[in-house]
Amino acid sequence: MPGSRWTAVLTLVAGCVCATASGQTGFAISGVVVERGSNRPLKHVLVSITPTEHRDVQLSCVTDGSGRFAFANVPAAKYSLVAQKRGEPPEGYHQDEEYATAIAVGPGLDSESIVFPLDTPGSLSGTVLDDQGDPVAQAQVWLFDKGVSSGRSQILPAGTYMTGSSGNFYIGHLSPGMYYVAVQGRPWYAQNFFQPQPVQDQNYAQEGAGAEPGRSISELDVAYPVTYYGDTSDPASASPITISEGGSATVQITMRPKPRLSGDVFHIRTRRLPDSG
Amino acid sequence: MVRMRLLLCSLALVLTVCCLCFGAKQIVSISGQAGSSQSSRAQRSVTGTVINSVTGEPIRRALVRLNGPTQSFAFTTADGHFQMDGVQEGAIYLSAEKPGFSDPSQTGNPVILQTGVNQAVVKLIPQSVIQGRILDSDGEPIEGVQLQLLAQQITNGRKEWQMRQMTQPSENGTYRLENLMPGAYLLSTMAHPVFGFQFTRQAGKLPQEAYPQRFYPNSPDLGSAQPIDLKPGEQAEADFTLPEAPAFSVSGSVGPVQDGISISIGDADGQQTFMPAAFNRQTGRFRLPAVPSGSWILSFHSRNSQGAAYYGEQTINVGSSDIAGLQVLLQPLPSIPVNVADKGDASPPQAQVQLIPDEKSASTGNYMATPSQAGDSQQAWMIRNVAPGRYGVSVQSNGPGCIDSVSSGSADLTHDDLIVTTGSQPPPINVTFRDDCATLSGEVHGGSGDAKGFVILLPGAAYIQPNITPIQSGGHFAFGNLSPGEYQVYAFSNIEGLEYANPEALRGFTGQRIDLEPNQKANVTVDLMVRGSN
Repeated sequence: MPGSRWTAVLTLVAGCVCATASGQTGFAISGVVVERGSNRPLKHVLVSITPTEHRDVQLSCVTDGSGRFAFANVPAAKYSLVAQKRGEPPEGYHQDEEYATAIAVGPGLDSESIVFPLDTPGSLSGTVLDDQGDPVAQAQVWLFDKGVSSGRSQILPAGTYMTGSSGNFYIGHLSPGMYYVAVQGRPWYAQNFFQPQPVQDQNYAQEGAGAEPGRSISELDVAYPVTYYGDTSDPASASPITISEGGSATVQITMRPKPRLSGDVFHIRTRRLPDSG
Repeated sequence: MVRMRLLLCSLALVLTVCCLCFGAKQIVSISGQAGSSQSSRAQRSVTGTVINSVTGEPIRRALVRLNGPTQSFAFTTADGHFQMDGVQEGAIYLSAEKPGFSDPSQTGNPVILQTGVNQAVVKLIPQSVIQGRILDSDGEPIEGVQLQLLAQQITNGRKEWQMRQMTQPSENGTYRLENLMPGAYLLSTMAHPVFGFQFTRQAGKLPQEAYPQRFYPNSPDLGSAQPIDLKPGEQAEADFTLPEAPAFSVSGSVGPVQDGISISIGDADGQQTFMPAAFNRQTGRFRLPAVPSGSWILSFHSRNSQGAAYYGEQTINVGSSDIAGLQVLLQPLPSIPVNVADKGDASPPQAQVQLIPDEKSASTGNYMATPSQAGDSQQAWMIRNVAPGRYGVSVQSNGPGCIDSVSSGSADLTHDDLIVTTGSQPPPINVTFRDDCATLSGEVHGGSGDAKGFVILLPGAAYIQPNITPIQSGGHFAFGNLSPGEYQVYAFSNIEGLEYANPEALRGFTGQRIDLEPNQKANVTVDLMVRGSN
C-alpha cells in the first residue's frame, strides 16, 4: 500500500513552517524563492511539491519574510516543485514552456539549497481619450496575448479591463511577450439610447406633445468603433505592444466617434489581427 | 405656480436618498416682448454659460440640453458658452451634463429667470474622488483587499452610515473611488488573508495570516474611525498600511439545514465585513479559514418557500487558536403584530409604526409595520422578521386622531425600549389613539422676501416621529393630529444634512417651544434660520 506512506507524510508535514529544516532527520527539500534578475527574496509565495510518481499528493508551504521554504522528512523520490505568487499563475522550477526540472531527493543528493527564480511580472498602463482630448471613462479594454502554442502562433484573449474617470487603465501580472489592445466605449454625450426624461410639469408634457425632436439629436447619435492600439479601427493595422521581463509599457488610444449606422466596426475581430495564423 | 412646483420638486429631492446623476436643471421662462403675437410662437435664442459651482470657472465641452416645445442640444465652447437658436417660447428646461460633475439641485434651488431674460448660467458641482494605495508593512502593494466606502446619510432625520461603494485595489495596490458627492465618508478595508483567497483553499492547515479590518486612518472599528470630509471637487488621498496579524480557522455547523442559508460576518459594532468562507449547503458545515483576532458576529439568514425568515447568530472571540465545533441553531424570526385601537368611534385611525435599532445593536435597518398578507396567522399589521436586538419605537399618526399610548405587554414603549431576543415571540405592539388632538399653524418670518424652506416640529416625546412640512406661500405652515404635549418648532431655509430627529443636533439652533393643550388650535410665529448646504 504505497498510498498509506504518503498519507503519513502529509500529516507530518501539514504543520510545515517555512523555515530552514535544521535538526530534522530524513530528507528535506528547502531553498529560497527569488525574483529573477534582481535575486530579491520573495515572501508570501506558495510553494508546492508533488512526488512525480504520486501526482495526487501535494504538500504546500508559504515562504517566510526572507523568501525561504522547507519541507522536512520527505521520503527519497523525485518531486516536481511549483511556486505561485499571489495573483500569478503557478510556475514550475526552471520551467520552459511545458517542461520543468524535477528535484531528486535521496542519499548524497543536495535538495536543500534550491534557488527558485520567479519571473517578474510586467505591466501595461494606458489612457483612452476622445478626439477632443477628453478621457473616455468606463471603456472596455481588451487585452490579447500573441503567443506560441504547440508550435503555432495564436492570439488569445488575456482579460478585459475598465477605464476609470480619467480614461486610464492598468494591467499587471503580464508575462513577457507581444500583446494587442482593443477598446470598446461609448461617447458620454451619445444620445442614441436617449429617452426623453420625465418632466415634472404636466402642462409642459401636453405643450410638448407632437413636438419634433431637434435636429441636433442626430449629431449626437454616434458611437466609437472598436479601436486598436495603433490608432486604427482596422484590426489588420493594429500595432503590437511588447512587454519585456518585468517591464512596463504605457500606451495612449484615441477614440473617434462615427455615426452609429456603421456595421461591424463595433465588434472585435481577433482573426484579423496581424499574424493570427 | 411654477414656484410651487419647484418647492415640491426640491422637497422630493431632499427627502429621498440622493442618487448620483449628471445634469443640472433650470427653468427659463421665455415669453415674447410686449406686443408680440400670442397666436404664433416667437422663435428665440437662448445663450448661456456652464460653470463650475466651486471655482466659477467655465466648463468646456459640456452638453447642454434644452427641453421645451422644441428640444435642442449644444456643446459649450472653450469659454463655457453655448447658444441655441430657433427656440420656441414656452416653459423651457435647461440641463447640462459633463463627466465628473453632478446635479446641484440637491444643494441649491433652481433659478427662475424672469420674463424676457433668456440668458442662463448653469452651475455644475464637481464630483469628488478618494484615492490611495494599500500597502503591507514592507511597503509592497496588497491587491485583492476589499474596500468599503460608507457615506453619512440623513434618513428620516437620523444620521446613519450607508454603504455607498465597494472596490478593490488594482495589481499595483492603488484604488480610486469616483463620482462622489460632497459629504462625510468612512473608508474601511476588510479582513483579508495574506495569502489570498485561492491560497487559503490550497494551503489547507497552513498557519494563516490576515490583514485585519482597518477604518481610515488606522482604527480597528467604526467607533474610533475618522470621517473623511469631502469638499466638492476634492481629490482626497487615503493610504492604508496594513499589518500582518495571525489568523485562525473558525468552523462548525448550522442547523436545521434548509435551502438558501447565507452567512455573513460583522464586527463587534455590527458593521458587515467580508472574509473567505466555505459553506456546505447540504450538511450545514461552515469554515472560515483566516479570521483575525478579535470579536466577530457570525450571522446566518434563510428564508423558506413560504417567506418565513430564520436567523441564527454566534458571537466569536478569536484569541490565539482555532475555533471548531460551533453549533448554530436557526430559529424563526418573530413578526410582531401591531394593533391600532381607537378610543372614539370614528373611522379606523392609521399610524405609521417603525422600530429603530439601538446604535449598538447588530441589527441594522428600520422595521416598518405593513398590512397582513395571505398566510399570516393573524389579521393585523405586522412588523416582519425582526432580528434580535434593542429597538426604540417611532409612531406617526396619519389621522384621524393622535397617538395616546404605545405598549408591548407590560412595557410602555413611550419610555422603554423593545427588546427582541432569539427564539421568543414579543407581545403585540398596541397603539391607542385619542381624539382631543391639537393643531398648530403659523408663519415663518425672515429670509429675503417670501420665506422658503421647511418647518420641523420636534415632539418632546421621543417615540413620536418628528413632523416636517414645506413652508407655503406667504410663509404659512400647518400641522394637524398632534398629541397634546411639548414641542419645539424650527424653520430652516435648507435641511440638507440636518439630523433633525436628533434633539442634540438641533441644540445649536433656536427653536420655539410650545406646549399644546388638548383640543388647542395654537398659532406661532417662527424666525427662519438660514443654513447653507453642509
